[in-house]
Amino acid sequence: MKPIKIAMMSLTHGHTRKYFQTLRDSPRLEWIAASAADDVVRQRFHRAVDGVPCYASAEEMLDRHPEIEAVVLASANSEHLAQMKACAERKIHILSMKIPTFDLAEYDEMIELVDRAGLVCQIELELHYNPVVERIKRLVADGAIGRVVSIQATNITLSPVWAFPWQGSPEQSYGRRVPLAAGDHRFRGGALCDHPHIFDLVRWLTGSRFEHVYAEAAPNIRTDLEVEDLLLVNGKMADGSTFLLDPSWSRLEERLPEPGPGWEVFPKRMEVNLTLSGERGTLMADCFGPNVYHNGAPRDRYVVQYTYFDEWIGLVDEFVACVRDGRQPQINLRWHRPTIEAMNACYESIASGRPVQLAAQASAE
Amino acid sequence: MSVHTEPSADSLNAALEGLLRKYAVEPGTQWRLAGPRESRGDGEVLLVAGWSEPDAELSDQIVPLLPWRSEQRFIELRRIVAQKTVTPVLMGRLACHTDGEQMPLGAILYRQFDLAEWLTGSAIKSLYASIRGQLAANVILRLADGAICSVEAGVALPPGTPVQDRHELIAGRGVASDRTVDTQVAQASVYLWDGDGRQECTDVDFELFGRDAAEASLVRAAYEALRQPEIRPALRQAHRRLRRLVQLAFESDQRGARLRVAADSGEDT
Repeated sequence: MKPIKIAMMSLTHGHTRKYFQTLRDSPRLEWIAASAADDVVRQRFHRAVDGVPCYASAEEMLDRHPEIEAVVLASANSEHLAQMKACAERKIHILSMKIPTFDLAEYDEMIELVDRAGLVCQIELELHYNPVVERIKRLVADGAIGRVVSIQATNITLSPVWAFPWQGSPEQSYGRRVPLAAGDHRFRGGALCDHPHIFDLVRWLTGSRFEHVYAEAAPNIRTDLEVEDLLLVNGKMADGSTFLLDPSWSRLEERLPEPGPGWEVFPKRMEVNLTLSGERGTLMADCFGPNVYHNGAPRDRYVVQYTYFDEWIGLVDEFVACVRDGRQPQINLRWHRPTIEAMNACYESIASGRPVQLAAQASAE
Repeated sequence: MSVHTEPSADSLNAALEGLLRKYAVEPGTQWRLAGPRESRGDGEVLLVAGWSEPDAELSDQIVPLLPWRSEQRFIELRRIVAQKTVTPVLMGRLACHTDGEQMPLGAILYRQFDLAEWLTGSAIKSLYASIRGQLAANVILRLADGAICSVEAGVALPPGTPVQDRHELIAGRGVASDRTVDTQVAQASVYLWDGDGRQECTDVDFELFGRDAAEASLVRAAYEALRQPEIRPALRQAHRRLRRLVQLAFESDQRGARLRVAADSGEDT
């Protein structure tokens, strides 16, 4: 299969460095160029990557490289719509980060843009390409625990805001400044916005839709953040199964301007664990473990050194196949919309103190 | 293995008697450590695990024990909070899965609600529960000090499987947990591979050697209730409150609403 000529925009997303490796290593991709959100990001890029031109604006990059076929939108959530418009105008396929937008009017505009231009737009929910998740899917599908009646899932991490400041900005992360609740000094846009994966997995594993969600936020660990960092979500799916999700930034970090060794204060900086109760058994899984451990440089703290599975290989394989074969990926804008709705409903629940019902979706899933 | 909740009553009574004799404790009354389904006679103090008593109101004859409060891992977690080694606690994550025979769903909630309050030192102020029949429950608690706490409960383990549980307290400074980082289930002290396959054991109490943590903590809790009869009214009061909290959880699920817990819920008036 002919490699896809690909580029990256903005370079401010937390997964940017992972893409540096993926775009260099994948034989299915030819990395053409990048554009940086600002000079600091651009300098950082040049320190990390050789031989790939980096431009000061997306427009300049696209003008200089009309051969670009696809783009990774590695940007703040608030930039996504404008960047998708630029791609649609030039018929460039899109690999979108995990939150296209929280504004559902904008979201529908994105769907229309992509449909009208005939583009592939894949949402980066990389856990679908994680081998542990694949094992869970197969076990559930094979009836190993019978019908699923309850799912508990964690997607807990350190906070990336010191390296990626837009994730602590309500306007750039959530899209606008909405108070978390009356009398609460915080705003929407924090840990919840960073962790859609477990919402997606609950839908995938039950094959059902969210019936209602209920959420509460704790006082922040990081009292200087203006977005939430600790919260819990529970509720029910339309099939009657119940769930409990922890999408918190509950693992403390050193406030490094760039991710790297010594980032962790808590030894394990990221965890996605699932417990599924079925009518005939229980399944527990750690999607990123076990690992290796050390207490060496730079801070002599006990640290979990991940032995990462590379979800990005499967993700890129699917993206490239969809572009070349002219089909839509599993995780596309329409599939992902109910997840965004549920996350918005969590914020509504935090504000109201009540569960929020979700309407049956008319959109194709 | 860490929480075996239905040990032989005779052997536990013998262990308790041994402790009373060793420390010269005279209970001054007939007593018996009774299992959940044992018949009860008159004229003796019955020491029972509180979670196994479905009624909120108990006669003076029955002493509902909260054995986990005598389990060393919980004593240490509580101490970590009380001494502000991790502080302030902002969120708790408590999980417990059983086979449904050893502890049914309501019993798990009883235990976990007590642990939420006892470990943090803060009362449950409100709860929102999402429950699937008698199979699984997911509850979000708000504590009086503003912290939140999740309670995950399930009864889908195969019959005879040891209870699987986890307790984590997340604070502004530090995290405390009874599970090792990067593991999902309890680790054992001893692993043995022999002709019978793999065996493991975790011995926690030299005086009660041979008892697992749950058995040892039940005996220890009973011992304290006999040694200090003055704590029995407080145990009955706690039992009433916990029964009310479990009832509220099921009401919350049925009504689809967060329910506030009255300050005097289940307490003596």
